[in-house]
Amino acid sequence: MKTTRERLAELFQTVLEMDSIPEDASSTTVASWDSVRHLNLIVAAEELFGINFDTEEISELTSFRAFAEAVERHLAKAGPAGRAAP
Amino acid sequence: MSEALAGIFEELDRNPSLAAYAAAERKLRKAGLPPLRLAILANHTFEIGAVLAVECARRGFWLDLYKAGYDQYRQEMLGAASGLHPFQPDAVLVSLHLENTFPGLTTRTVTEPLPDAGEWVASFRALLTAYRETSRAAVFVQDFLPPVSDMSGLLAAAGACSVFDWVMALNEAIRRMAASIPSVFVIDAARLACESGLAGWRDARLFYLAGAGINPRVFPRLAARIARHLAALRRPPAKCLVLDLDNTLWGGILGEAGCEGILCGEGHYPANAYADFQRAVLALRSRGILLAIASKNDLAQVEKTFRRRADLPLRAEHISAWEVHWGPKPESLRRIAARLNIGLESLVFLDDNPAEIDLVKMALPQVRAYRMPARPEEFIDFLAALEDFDQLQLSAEDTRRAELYELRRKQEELAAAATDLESFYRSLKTELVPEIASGANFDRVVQLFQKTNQFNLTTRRHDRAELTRRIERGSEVWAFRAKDIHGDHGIIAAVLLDFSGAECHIDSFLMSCRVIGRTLETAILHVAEERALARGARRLTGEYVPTARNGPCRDFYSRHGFSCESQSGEGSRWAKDVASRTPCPEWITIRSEEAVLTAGSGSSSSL
Repeated sequence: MKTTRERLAELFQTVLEMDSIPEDASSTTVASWDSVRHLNLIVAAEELFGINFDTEEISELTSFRAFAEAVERHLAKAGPAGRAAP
Repeated sequence: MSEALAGIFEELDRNPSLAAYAAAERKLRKAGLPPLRLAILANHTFEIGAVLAVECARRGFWLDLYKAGYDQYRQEMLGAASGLHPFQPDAVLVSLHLENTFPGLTTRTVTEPLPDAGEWVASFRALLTAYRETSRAAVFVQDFLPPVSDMSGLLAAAGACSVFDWVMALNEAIRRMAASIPSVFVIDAARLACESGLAGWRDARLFYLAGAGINPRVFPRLAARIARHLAALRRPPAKCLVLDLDNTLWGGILGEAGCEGILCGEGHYPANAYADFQRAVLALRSRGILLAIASKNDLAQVEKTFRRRADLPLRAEHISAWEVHWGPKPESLRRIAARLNIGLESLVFLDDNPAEIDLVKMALPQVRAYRMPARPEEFIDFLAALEDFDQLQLSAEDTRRAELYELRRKQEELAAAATDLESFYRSLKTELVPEIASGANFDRVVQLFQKTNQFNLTTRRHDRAELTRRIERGSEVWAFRAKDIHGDHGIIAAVLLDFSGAECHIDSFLMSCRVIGRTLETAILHVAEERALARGARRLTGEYVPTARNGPCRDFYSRHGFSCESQSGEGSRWAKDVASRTPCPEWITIRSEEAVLTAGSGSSSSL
């Protein structure tokens, strides 16, 4: 079973069209991470993990690390029942 | 579809998430599918491109996309500082968001009048008309989604201030407007949203943060609908629905239950579900789809059933071809196609038996064969969802097609009775009426250009815009109506003539397969020569471009005194002196020939 971070990294690879995602990837270091792709990352991550980011959070999720922490926070809040099937 | 492509879609459909769509899009990019150039104009953030490309690839083509700037749709269509025109799209999608188009609509005070929808539609109409004059691209207008919330509360249901009703009336006005401009079509997003739950189509966070008017989570559903429209632009609809009988058109096995025992009729399940399915099949017939039966049954018993069971909505006369016997179904389908004079790729075959479906798929891969759902109450939704019958618009000929085929069948009986061919031709008392292509007959002419396969000398699929352009440049497009003792066949042929100096060139010459074998083509050529003479031409030229289907007109030019000027892999060029006239067959009367001689434009004024 893949970890949350591994699944998120795969999603980033697909949406940002990259072969690998460095741990410190952010919208300032990754050229393809524009405002459109940012929206795609948000929606795809919400769908993948069955969560909903808060509106304030969305504009702050500008790095892979921030994304991963937010996903983990929401999953912990939802508890095991709230988790979407892989 | 190739196995590699099918594999991509299987994987996607197991888990159709947006990330999976993005992954599929990357793989499909390299599949080498034929491209369609689509421009997307929107006044909200609408990043549907990748999902839409995947849904188009599922339907056999790839999207080359142009995305106009945010809220630039008017400037783009009017050509000011525009990237749209140089892109030369095949199709344009216009997606407008309600709140961005009518600011303050959902938060208006109840005493404030609703905006004037008529005024907005009139200005939108002017925009589309202006664009129509500069581009041949088909335009698809997505209708407005009703708001999820507005501030009229319960009053919306009680009074005249319902924003929901206002939006629906606006959509209705857009539909009427679109129908009046050539090649402008509406995509019914509002209905689609209502089917799946309007609330899910809006994400307030993404709207306020990023101006996204539609929740990307519904993109797969919306993209599938848009792709259906785009596919219908390219692919002609299937022409005939071939149905099995037992457990498809009625419940039970006729051979076992007998004519009174099969289930179809009113009052109780499952008979009522089968009867409704038969009505749905008839609704499809009213759209110009022919019906045929392919069933393993005893013919006499089937005939008796249709005679005796008055509670079957479907009657024997609704069926254009019967194959009821114990022979293999691929053979039945072949015979149905031959009998109706259509290609196997125009057949959709439905059967409840998976073995029959597999056999047909293997033997005749061109036929679109589907297994019926498990239960009769699911049949109508299943039939309605088949994209094979998708039509973007309906012509007057479509609604009469089944009747016209019935007419042809009667003629064939007459032909069989006639002792020789010439007396058969005479017995028909055929009249040919040439009409210059314009207003009333133009839809049908465009349709003939798109659909005619067998008697089509060059198979150039000119669309409405191209034909209009050619006419403006001095070419002539003629439509031909045929009548005989059985009635009016409608417009059955069209010819496109180009003129340059002493030469008249037949760019296109096509005739419906319903009237092949009646020497009408000779009479039509006779009329074309009249036109050539009227315009001062001395030489008549034409081409034959062979296709997989147009064998029936292979010898057209050689039969009519043309000499072959050149021949290559792409086809042959033919010419004749107009002075040596092709006589009109004695058994065909050409109506209003004088009008033909003097009609049209250009050098005909010398007559």
